[in-house]
Amino acid sequence: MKVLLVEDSARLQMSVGRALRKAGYAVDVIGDGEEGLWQAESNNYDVIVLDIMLPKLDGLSLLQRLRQKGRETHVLLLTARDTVEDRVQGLQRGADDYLVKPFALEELLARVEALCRRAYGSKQTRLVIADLEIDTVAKEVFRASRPIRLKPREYLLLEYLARRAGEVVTREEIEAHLYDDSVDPMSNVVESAVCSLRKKINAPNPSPLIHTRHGLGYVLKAEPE
Amino acid sequence: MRTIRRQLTWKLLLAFALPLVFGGIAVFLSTRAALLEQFDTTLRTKALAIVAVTRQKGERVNVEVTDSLMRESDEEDAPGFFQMWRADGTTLKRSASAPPSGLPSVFGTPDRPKFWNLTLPSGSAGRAIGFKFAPRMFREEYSSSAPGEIILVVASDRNELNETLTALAFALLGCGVGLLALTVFVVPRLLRRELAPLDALAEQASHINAESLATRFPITSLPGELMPISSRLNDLLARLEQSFERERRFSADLAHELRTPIAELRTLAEVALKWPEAREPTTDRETLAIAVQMQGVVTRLLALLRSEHEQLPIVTKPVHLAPLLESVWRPFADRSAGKQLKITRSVTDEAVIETDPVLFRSILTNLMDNAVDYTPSGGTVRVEIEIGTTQFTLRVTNTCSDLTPQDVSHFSERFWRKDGARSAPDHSGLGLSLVKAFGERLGFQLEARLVDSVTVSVVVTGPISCRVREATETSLPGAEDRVDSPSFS
Repeated sequence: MKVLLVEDSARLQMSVGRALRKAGYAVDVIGDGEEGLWQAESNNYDVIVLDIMLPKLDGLSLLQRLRQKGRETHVLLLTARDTVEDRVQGLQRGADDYLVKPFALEELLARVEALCRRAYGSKQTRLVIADLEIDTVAKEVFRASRPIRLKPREYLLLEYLARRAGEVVTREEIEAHLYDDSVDPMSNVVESAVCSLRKKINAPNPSPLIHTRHGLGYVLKAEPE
Repeated sequence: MRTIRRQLTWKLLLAFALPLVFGGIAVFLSTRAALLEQFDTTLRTKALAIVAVTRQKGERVNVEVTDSLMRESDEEDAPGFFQMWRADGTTLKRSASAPPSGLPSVFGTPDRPKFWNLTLPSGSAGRAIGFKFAPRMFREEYSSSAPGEIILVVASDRNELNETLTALAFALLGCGVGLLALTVFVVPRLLRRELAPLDALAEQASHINAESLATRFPITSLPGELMPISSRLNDLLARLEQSFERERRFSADLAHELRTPIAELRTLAEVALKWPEAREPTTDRETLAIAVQMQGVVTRLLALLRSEHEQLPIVTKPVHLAPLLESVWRPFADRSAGKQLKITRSVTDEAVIETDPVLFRSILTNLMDNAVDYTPSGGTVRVEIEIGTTQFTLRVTNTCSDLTPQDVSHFSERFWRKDGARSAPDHSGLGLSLVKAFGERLGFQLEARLVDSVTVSVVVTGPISCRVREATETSLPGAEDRVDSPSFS
């Protein structure tokens, strides 16, 4: 899952960005509203964590312009403004959630997680494909009731494929949702990650779940090829 | 409860009742006196009529009783009585209606007769006149004998008079009671009606609370006496509203100013606790920087509050401005050079004012800090101090990029910042508030104005010899401390 953090406080950029990355998200961090709008329009983020009081372009105006251009990305407003009017105004401009500073990091992560689920039209925290089970809260994966240990990036890839189970997911989509700007688009990180993931989930049961559609992408489904 | 209406009601009732009672009594007494006088005049006329028909002939005295006198007194049930005595007490004549025991022999002179009340033989009340007189002599007797003295008492029934007086008393009493009852009925209603605007004012005032300070009392529709009260109440409400609004804004700004650093502290700590292996070496430095930033906000706020409450101790002494300006400027030199600012400082070597050096230094520091920080790279900063005969002028002028006259009018408001994002952690929006508060404490005036679209000037003027008000007795915690931090920007 890919998150855009638009926050002008350098310390919050550092700590919240690090927390999101540690939670397994690909995170882009931007410090002002104008660049934040450009990034939000140029990329396909699952969630945008947006401060309201930003230099150059405030968060509410950014949000309004984003919605006017038809972008449906889920937005979590993060702000020091705590009055009811502020919250109502934020939600009316198109925000999906609102969190007041100072906040508990766990709450921020939980809200981002909830918005990610909503991004894929699901409220379930347990995804099941054949004998594969994914607990999205505990970030645990089981196949044939046996636990599988995955690296954070592998887990995110599996969860992303599972949320779109049955659909062909292109390499570009995986890059856009799982990797931040630091990844070289010409690298084969996606192929490597898919290969590694495939090995791990096939270990308890050799019946393949991740299938390659040559020239198109990957699909996660129960039927054998 | 003691109310104006109740007090007015009682006092008005009393004001009506007392004149009514005393007036009634006065009318009764004066009428009674007039009727009695009239009665006495009639009695005296009767007595004089008897005197006129009384003649002495030798030792004999004749009374030629007229028909009317006879009708009035010479019958047993007649209303009039008279009796005559010689000087030795022997009765000369008396009316048939007079009691057998005779009338009391009380007398004065014809000019000053005696009048008195008595009970008549019929048991009813009567009034009598008595005087001693000398009867007229027959013409032929003038030379032969001296006239004797005769005592005459005439009495008359006064029942009619008493009945008239009783009727008058009842009439007055009835009128008085009626008027009092009418007053008791009318006065409270009149008062309620006339005091209705006061009730409406009180009712409206009772509904005003912190959430409805925008309420205003009507003025034009009120009676003249209430207009000034309503007007003053409106003024008070306007001041309260402004004060509440200022406090709300201040609280919101303060909360906001502290929320971001607290959020920074919290997330830094939570990330470090949750993922200790990923703890950055800069975390502690950042934590300290946040603490220093928050401490700065609190220190500036306390200094501002102390100054506004006149609790900053002031020690005035001669301050040489040239070395002070040089000393204050020194820490900004590097920052200024880094931004390639063109700096001009203008102050004569002998410029001296009498003021508090610590607060004055803080004023200078804040103005320079703002000028250096907010002047765009390559801009100019000009600091001038002019000394007049009684006043000095400190003017800090610098280049600005996007200020409007509206922005400049907010300069000295607490927590006001041009940057709505409030992203510069070194500034909290309290610097010019402090300059203003310290300046006011020292008797200075602060004025900020836009010289042109790219130049802003902050001017501080004040007396060369400082006169400050004494600090108040109550003090904020730590008010005894000197403000020794050079900058509160």
